[in-house]
Amino acid sequence: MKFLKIVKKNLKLLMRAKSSAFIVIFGPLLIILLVGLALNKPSTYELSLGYYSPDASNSLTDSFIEEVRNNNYSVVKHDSNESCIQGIKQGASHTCIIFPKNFEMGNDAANKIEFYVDYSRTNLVYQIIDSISKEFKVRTAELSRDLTQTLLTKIQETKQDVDEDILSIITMKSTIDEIITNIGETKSTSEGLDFSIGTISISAVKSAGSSIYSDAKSLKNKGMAAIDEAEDLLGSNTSMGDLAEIEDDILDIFNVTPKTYEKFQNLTENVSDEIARAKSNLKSAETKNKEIVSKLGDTQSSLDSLKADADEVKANLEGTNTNLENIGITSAESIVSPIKTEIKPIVAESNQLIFMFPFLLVLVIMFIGIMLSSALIIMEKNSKSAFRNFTTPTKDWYFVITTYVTSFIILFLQVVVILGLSYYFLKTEMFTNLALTTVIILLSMSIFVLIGMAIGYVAGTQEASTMLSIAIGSVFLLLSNLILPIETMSELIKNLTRFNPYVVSSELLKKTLLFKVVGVEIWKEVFLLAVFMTVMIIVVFLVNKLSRIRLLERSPHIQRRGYIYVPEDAYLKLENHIIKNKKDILRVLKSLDDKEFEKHVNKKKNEIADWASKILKERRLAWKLRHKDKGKMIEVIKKHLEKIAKKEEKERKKLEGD
Amino acid sequence: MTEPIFRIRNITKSFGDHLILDDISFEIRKGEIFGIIGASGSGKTTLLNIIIGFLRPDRGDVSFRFEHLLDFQKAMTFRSVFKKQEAVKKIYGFASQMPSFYMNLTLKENLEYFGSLYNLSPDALKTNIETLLNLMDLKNYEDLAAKNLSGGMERRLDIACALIHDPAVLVLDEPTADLDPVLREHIWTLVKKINKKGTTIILASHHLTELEDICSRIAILKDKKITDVASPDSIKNKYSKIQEVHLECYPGNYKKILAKLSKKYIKNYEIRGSHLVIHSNKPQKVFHELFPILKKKKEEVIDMKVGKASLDDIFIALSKDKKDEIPKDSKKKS
Repeated sequence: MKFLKIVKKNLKLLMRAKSSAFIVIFGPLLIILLVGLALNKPSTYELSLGYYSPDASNSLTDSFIEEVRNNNYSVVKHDSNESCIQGIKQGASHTCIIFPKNFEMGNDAANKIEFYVDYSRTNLVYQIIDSISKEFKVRTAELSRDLTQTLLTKIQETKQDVDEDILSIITMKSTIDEIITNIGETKSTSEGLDFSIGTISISAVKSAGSSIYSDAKSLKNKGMAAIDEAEDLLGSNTSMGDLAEIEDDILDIFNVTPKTYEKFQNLTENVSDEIARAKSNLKSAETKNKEIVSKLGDTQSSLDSLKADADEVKANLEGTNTNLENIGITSAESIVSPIKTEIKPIVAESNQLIFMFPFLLVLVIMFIGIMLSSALIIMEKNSKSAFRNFTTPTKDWYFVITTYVTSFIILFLQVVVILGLSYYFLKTEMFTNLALTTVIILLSMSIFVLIGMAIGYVAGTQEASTMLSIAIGSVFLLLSNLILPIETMSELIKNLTRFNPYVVSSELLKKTLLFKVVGVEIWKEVFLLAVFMTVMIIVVFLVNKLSRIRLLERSPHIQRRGYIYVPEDAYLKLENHIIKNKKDILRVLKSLDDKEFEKHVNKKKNEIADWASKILKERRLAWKLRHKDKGKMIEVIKKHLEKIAKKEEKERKKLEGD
Repeated sequence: MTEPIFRIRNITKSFGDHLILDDISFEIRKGEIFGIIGASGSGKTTLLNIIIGFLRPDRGDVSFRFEHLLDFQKAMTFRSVFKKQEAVKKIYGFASQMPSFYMNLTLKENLEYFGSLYNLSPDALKTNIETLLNLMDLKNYEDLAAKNLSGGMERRLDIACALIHDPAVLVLDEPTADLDPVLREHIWTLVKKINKKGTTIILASHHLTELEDICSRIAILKDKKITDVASPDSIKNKYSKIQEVHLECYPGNYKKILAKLSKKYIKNYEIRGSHLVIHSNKPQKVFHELFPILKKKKEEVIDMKVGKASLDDIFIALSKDKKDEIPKDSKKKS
């Protein structure tokens, strides 16, 4: 009963204190609502960009701008690059793009685009660079694809030309071979030509003609002699007539022979002339034939050389052809983007809030857990009833546990509400591993509640507690992935972040909610959380023990500052006057002369104001009494007393009425 | 004479180098209303806190007789409050000048809460709440948030919280501080009522005149020691040798008058508003000196009287007195 009563009392106090009730009930819901509104959209960035182009109109610039504009970027044109950069500084745009003058595609063309970004926005700058660069890369890739396609077409055409050239060379080579063969044959024929005539002796012919003529003469003579002898032998018989004829014939022939011989002589002379001319011609022909053979030889060599060259050209063309064939990639797309990448999420969701959800949930648990439990303890410590709690026969640990349970219950309800709302709105399968997720959430809740409790016990005031809570929460946040990637931190800090309960809890929750991992895979981290919790329990009990001693010392009933300040009996003694209450202040102030007054109220001190502050705990009155002028002080205390009198009168009347 | 229930023996307490209480010993009897008076910083509240075992002394002991125990032998034995903290907490209730309850809880909720810390059964708790609300005249406000209570009601609720477990001893530290006379009277009436039920009451108050009427015995704490523990009448008789000379005159240059007076008859003086109060064991001598001075200074006497010093005056004299200038031998006159 006692336990429940304390918890119930804590809950009532929290709910009845307007500010804490607002924080407790609406704080987390407000956070989640804001975060939900902010992040419940596809993972795109609504970026605005400014640009400056020196050209009044440039199709290439326009094409780039059109590309980004089509992707829902807010685009603002600036009149100068200074104005464009100024736009970033003023927060009007996220990036500034400066296009070059005469921006165009070409070898010597000025095609360098300058991007200006604000690196102080560490959490966004890389997304901005990545996002804008992506849009520009798309357009650049399109242009690159066109250029590459042209290049590929030319290569294809060249390949066809080379093929045709190879064929021509082959034909040419065969023609050359044929020519070489023909030349060879011609050459050998020419070389085989015999231009020698031998020795034609006209004199011998003449001699032979003369001999024939002399033989004919001799023959005629011998024939005549033969006929004469035949006649002699045969006498005048018939046959003698025939002989006479033969003789006549021989005589006739013989008579003709000189003429023939003369003709022969003439002919021989002619032949001799002709032969001489023919010889001369043959000589000339032989010389020319030799020249021809020589030239044919040269031609043959040239043709051989030509053939060799043709072979070389052919080989080169074939090599070129092979190279062209070996290019293999014939698609411009493949050359512009030889490697195709596709970034796939390891989870199916595409909503930023789902990705952020584990981190946000632990963030809420962390801040509410720390703030709530520390506030609860400070509320109790600063409460006037703290003293009465100590006077009851209740062990310290009872209050520690009840504070923990109270904070835990509130935080648990908040987490349930948050999870319920998230489940309803996100409509995602978040709780496939419900048991493990619950264990992690409960452990992290416990850790942060215990941290908050330790802060509450350490801190002396609400302000100190709040500052300490925020500071510790911020350190946890800073040493996590939420603001800066852990990977960018120094090795030491990186190692420390492994023990950051926020990092451990949120990473575990991410694994269970998003990656649906099972307990076996993450038992070490869960164990680490359990160790954290155990350590924090010990710390809380130790800090509570120490703070209890401090609290007793700070108790308005007991104060150790050289002497005891006890509001009820710590009277102020000024000269011979004793101030017991506020009325006495007025009385004594009136009684003191200026010298006495200055002894106690001067530039260095104001004992009356100090007493009112420290003993009466009337800080407002003390503040008002901080005058160096007695008259003003009297006026202040008079007004104060009148106010109290009026209040008392009112209460009295009220009581009488009751 | 009733038997003692608290026995305070040789209590010495220092905070740092500052000695607060030095070898204090006295007893508190069952059923009495025991008052503690002392000057500023004399350590009354420290003494109260030590008596209830809330503060440990450097030396000495406070023992209590747990007479509520059924075992007679045990009930008659004095036990150190420091060794039996949890048990001691059950037998006393503590109410101080500062209200010690939750402002955002109603009266009934506060009583229920503090009652539950004493492990009272629901029935007992209900009965106690009912009784206390009636006793303190707070029944009509039981569902009112404590923050809406007036000063007097706050004090009554605080006392009710201290009494929720029906303690054998009620410790009241300045129960009427900052209250107007009507409310003070109301509180003292309540204290008497509580005491009549058999509750021993230990209290410290600076309204000494009121203590005079209510306390059975009073302890005077002076110079870190208890100088006297006696009934108010005994104390007054002891310190009644001093008388007060009250003078009111016009224009009232009391400083100049005092400068002319012979110091040997003046134990102390105080200017209270338009009055000059002179403590003296020879008031007639003071009068004798005063008349010529007043005449010489052309002071017109408006009022002049001689009276016995009240307990308040004795207390003030005690608190001012650093060299044993305690007024003695005074007789009240008007």
